[in-house]
Amino acid sequence: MGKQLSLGTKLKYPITISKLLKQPGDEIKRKEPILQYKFTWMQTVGDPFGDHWDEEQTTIADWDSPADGTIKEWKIKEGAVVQRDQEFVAIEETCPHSIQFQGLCGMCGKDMTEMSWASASDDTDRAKINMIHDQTALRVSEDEASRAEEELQRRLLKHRKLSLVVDLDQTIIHACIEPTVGDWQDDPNSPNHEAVKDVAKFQLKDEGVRGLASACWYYIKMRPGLKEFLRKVSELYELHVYTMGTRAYAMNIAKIVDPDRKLFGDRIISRDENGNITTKSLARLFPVDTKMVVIIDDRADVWPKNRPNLIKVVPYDFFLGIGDINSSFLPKREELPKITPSPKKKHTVKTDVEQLESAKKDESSSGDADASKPQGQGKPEEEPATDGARISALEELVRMGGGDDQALRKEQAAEQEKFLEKQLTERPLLHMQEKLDQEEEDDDATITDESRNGDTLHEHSHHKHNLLKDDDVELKYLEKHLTQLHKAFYDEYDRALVNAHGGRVAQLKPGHKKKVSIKDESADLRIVPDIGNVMPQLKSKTLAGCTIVMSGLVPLQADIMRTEIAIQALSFGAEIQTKVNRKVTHLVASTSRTRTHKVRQAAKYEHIKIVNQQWLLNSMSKWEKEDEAPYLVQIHEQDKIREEGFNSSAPSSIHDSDESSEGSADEEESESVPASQEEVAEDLEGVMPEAIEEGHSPVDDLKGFNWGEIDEELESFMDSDESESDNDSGAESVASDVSIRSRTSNKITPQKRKLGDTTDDENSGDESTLAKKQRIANSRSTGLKTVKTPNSMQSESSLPTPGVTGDEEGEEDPVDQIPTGDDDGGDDPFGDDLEADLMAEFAREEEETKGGD
Amino acid sequence: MFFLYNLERQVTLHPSYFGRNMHELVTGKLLKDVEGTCTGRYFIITIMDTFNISEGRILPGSGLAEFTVGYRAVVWRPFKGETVDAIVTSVNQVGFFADAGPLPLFVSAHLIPPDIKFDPNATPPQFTDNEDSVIEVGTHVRVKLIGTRAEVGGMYAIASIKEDYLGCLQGS
Repeated sequence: MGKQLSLGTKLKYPITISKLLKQPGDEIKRKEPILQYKFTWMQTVGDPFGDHWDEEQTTIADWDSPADGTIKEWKIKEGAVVQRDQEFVAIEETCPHSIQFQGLCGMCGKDMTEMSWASASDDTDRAKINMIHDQTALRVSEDEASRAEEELQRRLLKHRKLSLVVDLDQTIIHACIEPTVGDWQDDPNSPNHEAVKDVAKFQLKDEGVRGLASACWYYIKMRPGLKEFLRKVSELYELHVYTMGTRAYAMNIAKIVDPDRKLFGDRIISRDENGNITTKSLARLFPVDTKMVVIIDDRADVWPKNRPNLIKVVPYDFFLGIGDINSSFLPKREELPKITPSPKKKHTVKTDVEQLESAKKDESSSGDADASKPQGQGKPEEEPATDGARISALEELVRMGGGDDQALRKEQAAEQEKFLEKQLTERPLLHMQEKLDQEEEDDDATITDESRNGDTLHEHSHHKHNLLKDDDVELKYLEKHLTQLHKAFYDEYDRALVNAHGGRVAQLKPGHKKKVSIKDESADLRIVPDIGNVMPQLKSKTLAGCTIVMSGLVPLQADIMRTEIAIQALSFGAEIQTKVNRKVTHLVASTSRTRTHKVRQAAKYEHIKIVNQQWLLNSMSKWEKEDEAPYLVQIHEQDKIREEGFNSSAPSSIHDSDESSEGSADEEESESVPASQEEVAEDLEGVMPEAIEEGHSPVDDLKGFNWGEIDEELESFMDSDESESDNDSGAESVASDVSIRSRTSNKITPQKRKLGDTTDDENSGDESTLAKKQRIANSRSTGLKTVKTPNSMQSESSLPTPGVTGDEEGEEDPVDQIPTGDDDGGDDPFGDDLEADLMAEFAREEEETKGGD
Repeated sequence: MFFLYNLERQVTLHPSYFGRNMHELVTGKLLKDVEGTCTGRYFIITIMDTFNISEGRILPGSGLAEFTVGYRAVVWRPFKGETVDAIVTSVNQVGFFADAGPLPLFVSAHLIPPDIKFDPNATPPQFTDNEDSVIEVGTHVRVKLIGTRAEVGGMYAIASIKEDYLGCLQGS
């Protein structure tokens, strides 16, 4: 426990050491002088007559020890002149104060908060790490922490185990306080009785949550197969609980899940001890080394620093629409649209409910309160979390400054209370079941609806009224993964161990004896592989070789590489592309939007498998590439037909951009296919001035703008629009109309063409922010726009805003686009091809909207 | 160490309580306010009796009556070096926590005899020498305080069992 003392920066250097008061081996006490030094300084002195002059003074001073201990070695000699701050003595401290409890040293019992003139730094700073599960007052120093961790690792290695940090809510259990569950439990006739009969419940008595939610029952549904899972996994892993619930809650859950306390023991950490409102961190439990730790959690975003160690679990959503009762203060969960939790069935209740709800809303768009509420329930996590996110985002900033633990916890409790009360009063489950029943009746009564609701109703009739399903199989996969991971880890460890033994023998020979004997123990630990490496390796085999493009899954304006789904897919070895091209192997399309532009593009390539998001989710959940066949998305007939017609025009545009572009031909070609189509897609309505499609800010062009021409254009455009809206059925004639118009617009706006020359043919990342914003705003969803405009679909094209874009436009990611050639904008043949594309695309779009309406 | 200590306190009484049994009310309020609190140096365990309840004085502005009450209380002041009995509340690899009445204390592994080791595999986790000394949650231990610290409304202590006759209390 040697410690070097330094002189400190506050002395008046240079100083001369005049005397060493202690010899090596002497004991020293705090505040005791151990050294005498002298220094010179200038003093201004004066006399009674008002004269001032500087006089050199020499002062002798003592240097007091800041710590108790024994002097080991002086590093300076008497008479030495010291120019600057330096370490001058090594002492052996009596106590390193490495364990502190509430400001007291746990080893010597001294008060650590005591400050004196002699102490250079606060002693409480020496033990800062909080690594005990159920205590926040106990802190240890880094040395102590690594010692404890080393011990832990050695123990785990001996038993061939790993650490597993388990989240509670929606990972291994699902909790809710909805009183309806209790009613169903008591009522054997309830359609949900079967599902909820084994739901455990408890009451939190001494909970911080007050008011309405104070004495409510918590209903806990264990994930199917949980006991078996935990039993098996606990043979390979040492389990820890890490939850965002309160301590009392966590203890109660642990009592239910693990009544004998064999699995978790005392290794439970809750938000009371976490010290952070929005994130969990492995460093809280394993401050030094997370090599042997695996996490299972349903939310990846709360583990910002420990992603390599994380196995993301499909959230367990048993009580539909409840979400996570302990995450109301967390940021909104980033989730895919309509996840279907069970891989076996494509449409579980949840999707059905949603579909029914939307169907229902279609029939009766009158705003009755009941209809609008369950609509929100369809997306369970989002609704309650939104206000939480809004508040926490703001307040987190405040908290970062002065992180008052107490205040923070109060905040959380208040947040949660609000959320719980809402659940108690609104009883969403009851409403949903009623809704379901009602739908059922409606279904029987009115067959006319069938045409509108499509096959949803058929699906739904299997479900026979019961809202809650007990068919989750995630834990089986999880167990498999954990076993696999454990094996991979110890395989690697054993390999390393064999090598290390060889190495150590070699080390012994040349006479590194001392080194070996010291590190003999820790040598084992250094060769321990890191889960953070082992797991990604294992995972990345899953989707290796897959190049994935997503369609309809990510919000348009989001950076796809930052979305949860993309990060996950990447961690499973897939490559994410933003555009469809030759290298792409899979197009993952949303089940609800199977006719996006990307789907159409992908349909052109035979080798691209167009699958729904469930394929991706299941592959990631099972850690193996699923067979695509059951997940293939039905390509709309029209898309296929159109593709053929479309193909004829596409090659020419490829050709064009290829000519003009530099760089590798292969790359460019594959990129430019979507590029030119993208452009076509943007201009579906044919209203946009070319300059804008070319990724140019409209504002940039305004200077050289001929407003008269624009008026003309507008006029002709309005004319054509009239004819368009008259023409409902004849898509071809509309197309021809448009073609004429767009040709004329091409001719009368040569200036814009030139201005646009500098940009490339795709809507690239260098467009101005204004244009981008406009585009984003306009391209949120075509479906919405259709609803809004009063005179059917065609009227959309009459919107004179230049920023109006097509359906697919926003799906491309502005950041990730690769700019291609520079000066192809002015090419005449290109313009013609473009027009042809435009026409074809436009006509198709027309038809589609009619069909899809 | 326990002391019988004479103390004094100002007690205020709301005007609605003014009446015949005012002194009882004052005593009641005193008990409620004071018993079981920590002044920072000692815990007031219980109040034995009150004496010298002064004349009530109406506080201008609020109308509350203020009494100065002298009382005798049993107080406990934990001293460094004092030996106390405590009940273990939590055990971890760094040491264990225990409560000596109102005083939470911590015994670190450094202050536990080296033959008593932490066993994380036991359920629940415990410190044990694999003989008759088993320290787990709920165990009664005898410890010696080696440091105390007071904060507003509470005190904390560090204790040791690394001496003769300290540690697990048998047969409790």
